Amino acid sequence: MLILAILVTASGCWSSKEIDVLAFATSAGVDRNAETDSPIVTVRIVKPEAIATGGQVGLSPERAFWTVSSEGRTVFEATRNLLQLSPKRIFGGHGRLLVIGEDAARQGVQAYLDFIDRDGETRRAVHMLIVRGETAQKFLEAEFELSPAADLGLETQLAGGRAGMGTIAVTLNEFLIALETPGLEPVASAAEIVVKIPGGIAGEVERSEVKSSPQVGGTAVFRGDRLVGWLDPLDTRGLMWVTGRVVSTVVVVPCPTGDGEDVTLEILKAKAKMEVDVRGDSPTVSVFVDVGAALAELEAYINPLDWPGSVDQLQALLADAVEGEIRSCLHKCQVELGADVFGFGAAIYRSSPAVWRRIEGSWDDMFPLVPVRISVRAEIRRSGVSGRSLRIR
Amino acid sequence: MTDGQQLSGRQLVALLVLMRLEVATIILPSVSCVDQPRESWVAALAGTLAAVPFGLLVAALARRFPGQTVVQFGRAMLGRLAGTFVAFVYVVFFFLIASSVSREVGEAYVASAMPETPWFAFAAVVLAVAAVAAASGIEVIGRAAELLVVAALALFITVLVLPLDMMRISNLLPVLERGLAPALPASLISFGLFGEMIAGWMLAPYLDYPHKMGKYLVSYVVISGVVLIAAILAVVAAFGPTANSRILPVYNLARNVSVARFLERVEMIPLAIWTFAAWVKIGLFLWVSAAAISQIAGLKDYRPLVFPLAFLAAAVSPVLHEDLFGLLDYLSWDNWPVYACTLQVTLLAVLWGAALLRGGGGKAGRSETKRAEGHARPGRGGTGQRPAKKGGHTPGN
Repeated sequence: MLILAILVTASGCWSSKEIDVLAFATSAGVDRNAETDSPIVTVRIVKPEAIATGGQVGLSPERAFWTVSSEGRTVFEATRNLLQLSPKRIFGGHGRLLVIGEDAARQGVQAYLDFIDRDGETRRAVHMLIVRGETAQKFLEAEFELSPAADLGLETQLAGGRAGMGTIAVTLNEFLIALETPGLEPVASAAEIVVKIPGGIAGEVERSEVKSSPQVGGTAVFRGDRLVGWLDPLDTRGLMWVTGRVVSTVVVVPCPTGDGEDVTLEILKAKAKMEVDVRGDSPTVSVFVDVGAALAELEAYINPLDWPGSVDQLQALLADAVEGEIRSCLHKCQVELGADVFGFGAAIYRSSPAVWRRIEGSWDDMFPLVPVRISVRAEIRRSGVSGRSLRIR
Repeated sequence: MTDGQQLSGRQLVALLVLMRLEVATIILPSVSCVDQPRESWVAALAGTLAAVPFGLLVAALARRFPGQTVVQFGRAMLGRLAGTFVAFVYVVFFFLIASSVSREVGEAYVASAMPETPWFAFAAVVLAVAAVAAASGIEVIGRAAELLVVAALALFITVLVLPLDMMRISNLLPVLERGLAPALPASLISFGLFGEMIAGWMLAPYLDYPHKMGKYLVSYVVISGVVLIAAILAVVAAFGPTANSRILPVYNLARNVSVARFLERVEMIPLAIWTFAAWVKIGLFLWVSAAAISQIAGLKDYRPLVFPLAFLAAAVSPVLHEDLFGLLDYLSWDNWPVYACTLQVTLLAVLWGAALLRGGGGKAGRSETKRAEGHARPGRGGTGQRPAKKGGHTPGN
């Protein structure tokens, strides 16, 4: 009896997948074939052997990854068709990035996202990128100089919030929640391909020179599930101030000495609160931002000990700068794009659901006209290891 | 006709907590089978609060009939025919849950980790191992539960806490936008699952301190209630309005954990917890069914019934629900929970009513208890004798 039981259980299960038959897809991309309106799925598979030998300075001649694409009537069918091209079964569990081409995003991503959410292998923690002006396929073929697997590097940066100024990191989970939340429009990170050598994207197996690099910056703005526009990095930062996503960034303000020099302030912490006032006919929104910064760079000579008001002036300048970025972003989103990416509608819903139910239908018309009051409080807390800056005698 | 087995209070609480949390770990029906998951925690809170007085009444009834199981005192108070009917309803209730749980476990494994395997493989294995445990006696199951409940709870809480970076309080607001009333039907789900504590009516004779049963049941309600509400809050905070699209919310939550890019994908933890909890629950309910049947039929030993019941449960499990969606629908408030709550409350009311009217058991009517069958526990074969200490399994001990 016992032998039978062991025989049955120890021989392996139906679902066993040995690791050497799996191809690990670190990123996936979806594009749209404009003629047939069918999705093209691209998958970037990492080659662990190539990365392992790429530890030394100067990368191994073999590209550390392989991209493969195929088409189908639906995303899942396209993914299955990939198996015809790949000797190993593609495993999506370690995916980091989900890249969608601009054309596909403009048509609406709902049809593409269901499979990705429903499949047990993909995770909702993947970061979403929309490629501006190119297809996801081309994006996934581009690579970084420093890291053989660009998407792993990108994703580390995005997750850490350190991918540069004006880069917003959006996970699939956040995107889907924004889709289903009334009064909040989804956003995704915007990405581009920087072509270093004109006329080429990348070699197939061998890498001679890095021909193009992926670059992330800015935001893709959606209405519903359709892409409607882009925010440049400064406007993106405005969005990040309001939604409390600023992790570590740098703001340059003019020097209070007034001689055209600049002061760089490093943002240590930024918190934002949104309050909605629904009394009366139309709602108004107040945004309160609390910024903590460090004095990072002084181009001119300032001695805060001699000139106590300098810090106050810098704080005021910082507050103005932040408010300016927010206003610029507001203008872009309210007037030009008409997309409530800040979640004003959702804030109304949270504070008074009855009012939201009344205005929900006309929110698209009301949103561009909502008056927003911005109040920024900036505090400079540190200044590195120097007090005063250099004085030339 | 006793078998010298005893359950300590902690074991009872452990058994019941695992019984209650089994469904929560797998499906969390309060979230995935509900229209508005945002309000589920209110419903769960209501269910938990209602379960406390229910538990006290359940315990008080058992205390009135010390050393007797529901089969015995039911028959004593309601008469042989009605009492047998009530006991039969009781058995069927637990037997069907055992079968359904094995299906849940199987479907959960298939949906999450091993899609190619037929769910029946998992269901059958869990039933088999649970049957072995049930045949070994309630103390075996109790001890196993006691050993592992702390680890299970600690891991469960960990899984709820790790994805903190995914959670947003804004996903939990607005609270009760349509008022309290529309949120309440979902509380039947929680209450129905809490009410499975009426299994305690079969376990009461084994308790080492029977008069403390009320305290044990209340601790069970409080512990599982807290964990349940924490789970609901965590899942809704992390997934927002998409929470009820998840079939296996806790599993999905664990899948997306990413702490400092180091601790990731801990989804095997809920898998382990639910497997163990399901095993305990099925073992417990198989035991309850077998023991009750053996008492109804006047058998000397309940053990020969365990494996046939397990086979029967395995046979019933494909029939019980058509598919996974049938299972989810079954757990939404207007299906099984209504049936369970009605059954539990009615049984309690009927038995209490009979106890008060006929003055059976407890301090009043001591003579009646002596007249009724005084044999307490389901037999394991051999002559009856009440040992002073916990005895072995040998007959006649």
